[in-house]
Amino acid sequence: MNASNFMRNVLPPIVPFVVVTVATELAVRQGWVPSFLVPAPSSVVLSMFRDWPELWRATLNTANASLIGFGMSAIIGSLVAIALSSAAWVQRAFYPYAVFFQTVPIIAIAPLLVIWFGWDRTVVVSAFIVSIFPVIANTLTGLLSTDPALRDLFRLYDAKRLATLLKLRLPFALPHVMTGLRIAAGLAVIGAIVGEFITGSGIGGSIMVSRQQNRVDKVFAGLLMASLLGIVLFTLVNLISRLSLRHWHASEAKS
Amino acid sequence: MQLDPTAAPLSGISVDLRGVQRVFPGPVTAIDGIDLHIAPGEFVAILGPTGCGKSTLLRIIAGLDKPDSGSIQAGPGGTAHRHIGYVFQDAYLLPWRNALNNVALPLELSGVPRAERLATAAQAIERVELADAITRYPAELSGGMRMRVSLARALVTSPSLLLLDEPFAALDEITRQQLDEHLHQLWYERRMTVIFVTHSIIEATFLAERAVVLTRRPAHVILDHTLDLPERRAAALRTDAQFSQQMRVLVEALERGDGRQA
Repeated sequence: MNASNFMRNVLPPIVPFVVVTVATELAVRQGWVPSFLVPAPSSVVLSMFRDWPELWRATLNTANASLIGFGMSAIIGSLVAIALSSAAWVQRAFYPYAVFFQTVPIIAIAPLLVIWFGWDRTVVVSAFIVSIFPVIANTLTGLLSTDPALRDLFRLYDAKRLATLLKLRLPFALPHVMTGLRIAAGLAVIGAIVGEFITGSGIGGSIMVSRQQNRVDKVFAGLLMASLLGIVLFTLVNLISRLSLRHWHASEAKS
Repeated sequence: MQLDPTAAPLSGISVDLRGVQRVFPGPVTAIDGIDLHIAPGEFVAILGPTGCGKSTLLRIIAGLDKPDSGSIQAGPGGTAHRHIGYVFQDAYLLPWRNALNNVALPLELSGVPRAERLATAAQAIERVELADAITRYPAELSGGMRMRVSLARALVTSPSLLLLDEPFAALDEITRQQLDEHLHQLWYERRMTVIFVTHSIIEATFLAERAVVLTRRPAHVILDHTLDLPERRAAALRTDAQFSQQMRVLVEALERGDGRQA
């Protein structure tokens, strides 16, 4: 990385972070904002050190549930999108339910999930439900946007339905699929934490308990870990996306 | 199926259109009763104003669209898809496949074993003079190179009928002329039947043995002209007096066909 790249890409997001952190620290220390409402950034860092083993265990729990929920969304969501794209009537019959699924407030059905799936699986199911819709919607858009000329080409060579799906429609939908997965990655973490509010495990559980103990610093420490987890997952999907689409755009080796 | 491009010269197939009509919802009559007989191995250019239904006609011949009335027969056994090569207005390559695998696609879809289809595809790429670009991806190729790959893909099954839908329209003039000369050479060696849709009069005159001029929509044939030019075409022909005389015949027909409804 050279200096100009650093100035252009890395520095801009760091500046607001530093300004807000310093301002908050100052505001709390000067007593402008009571520390039981907003903790000083320094005390959040301190809490992270002090409660690290507990926080780390909670984060691993949440990460595990988010990843499984996200993985299920990716696989089941793509399969649902393939099924929906198979015929116009299938799409008309079932797509409204996919939309409905998305509008159901997860926090309201989480208690039901506990009854149905038990305490252990609720968090994963919650992450799954929250993150599946963008996968379905984006994959479906991608599958339906196959270039007509390329469809003609496959018809010209009497390609079978399965061959057309695997060799044309799915790869063609890849950029859309990746967009869906990027959105789903962040949502899976949110879904997991909502589930944990009910089950009391992971980062969500830790935040609930800390709130009851009036430990705002620990609440913030949990928030920070949750955000970091979201960023890690997002970056991971972004990396996969770049690798899988690397040939789509003009490279520097152009003649 | 004949797959070896180095095999004995292929003969083209005949194409027979009888009273072909195509009406799109609207209703808009795109094609209004076209009769056309194309002999095996003939190189026919189809000319006409933009949006006159040239592409529709080509799609019907390829079996990608069906006429509302009339009949179409390509070859002795009807439209057998796998004997047809089709080149679109753009290269339409699959961006996730390199040049070789793009060219091998038609063979892959027909179930040709991997080693055999890659060898055949490599030969097809060599024939369009792109041997050094075999492992490159479409995004790394220039517009002209992409069109060559597209041409190789259409030729890889050794089609007896090659359909081209304004294939070089998006390219610059020099690249276009080079590809025209190249296409002529390929046809001269292999003698497949070629139907070449274009709105460029120079291109039609340079390439075709016979030019069919269509009118504005609803399209019908206004001129069916066998070009009075030598069978072998070379770059120098474009500046020949006879060449411009033949072009004029086509220009006049185009103007008549275009002005009919104006």
